[in-house]
Amino acid sequence: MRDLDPVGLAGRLTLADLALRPIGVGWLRPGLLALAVLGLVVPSLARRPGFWLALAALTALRVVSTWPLADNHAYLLAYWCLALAIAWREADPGPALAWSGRVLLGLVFALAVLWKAISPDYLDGRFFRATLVTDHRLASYAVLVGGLDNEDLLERREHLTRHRDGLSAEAPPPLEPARFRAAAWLATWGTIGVEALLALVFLWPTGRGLSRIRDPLLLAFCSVTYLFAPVSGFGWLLIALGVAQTDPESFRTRASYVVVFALVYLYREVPWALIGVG
Amino acid sequence: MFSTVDGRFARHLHAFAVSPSLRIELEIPFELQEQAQSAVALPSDSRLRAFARELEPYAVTDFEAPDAIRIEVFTTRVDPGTLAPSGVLLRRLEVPLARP
Repeated sequence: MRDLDPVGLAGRLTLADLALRPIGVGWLRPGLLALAVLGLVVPSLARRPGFWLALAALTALRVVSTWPLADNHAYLLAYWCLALAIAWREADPGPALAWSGRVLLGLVFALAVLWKAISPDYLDGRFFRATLVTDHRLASYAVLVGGLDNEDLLERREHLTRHRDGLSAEAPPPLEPARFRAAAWLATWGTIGVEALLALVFLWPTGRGLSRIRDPLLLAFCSVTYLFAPVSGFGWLLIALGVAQTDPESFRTRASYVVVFALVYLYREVPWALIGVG
Repeated sequence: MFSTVDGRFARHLHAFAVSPSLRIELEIPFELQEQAQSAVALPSDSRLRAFARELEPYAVTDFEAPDAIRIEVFTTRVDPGTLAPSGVLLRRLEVPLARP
């Protein structure tokens, strides 16, 4: 039962993330994978601060070795492994890890909102109007919600990715359907709105007011977001942080996080959202 | 991430061997692709200079010997209304070639 408590489960989900989606280049990749698998099959190892410190060092090395190309969740993973190492130095790691998980989640979403707020091409809708077309990972949203057919999508993608340095594209842009424009606005304000709310609830004092909707909100966010944006590593990491900050008595909440973890895995392996895209 | 069109994949660079009468675009070799990606992600003077130095052995032309390598980093901006894309110069650096 010890492994189903917030700390044990958060650790196992973090290791499962590393095992299911190996990261790193060169010797780092087998090194990280080996540590992750070792931590899963020898649970006592994953209760040692030295184990997580080794993971923190390797994940930090991964960021440094790929500088400046590492994705933002590569940094979060290194911080989280360090948080686990620090927490396991305590006789009862629960409170320290819960605090770290909660604060990291709050800061992740607060900074995401900040980046969007200071990006001129986000708030005016340009980001999603362009990215829904050019980023193939979001094609399912563009088709299913935006109403574009494959031909529209390819035509718009071709237009947006064809340009000359210093000059605008010569051909007029394809007309933008009203439904697609609405879908882009929904994504724009829906995303920043939910992320702002997530930042607020995780940075809100525990046990009061808005903090009570932390878990359902994060679960809903992960269930929907990673259906359309298949960045499973990031989703799994957010889930591990979410588990760490759950009330130790909330077994059902942690079970829900495990279900969403599995759901994100299904999204990755069975891209059902692409069925309508063709 | 997921906040601006100006992401890694919206940027690209051009490298040229230049002299007063010459400007020839250099093809980035496969082995320097990762360095090119780093250069567009963070186009600081030092990073572009280092990249230009890596390109020096490839700056061979059939004409006169070039004096320098010029690196230009572009990003794609889209028009707020029409979404018409255009390439915008972010950084330009010219690095004199080392003389033998």
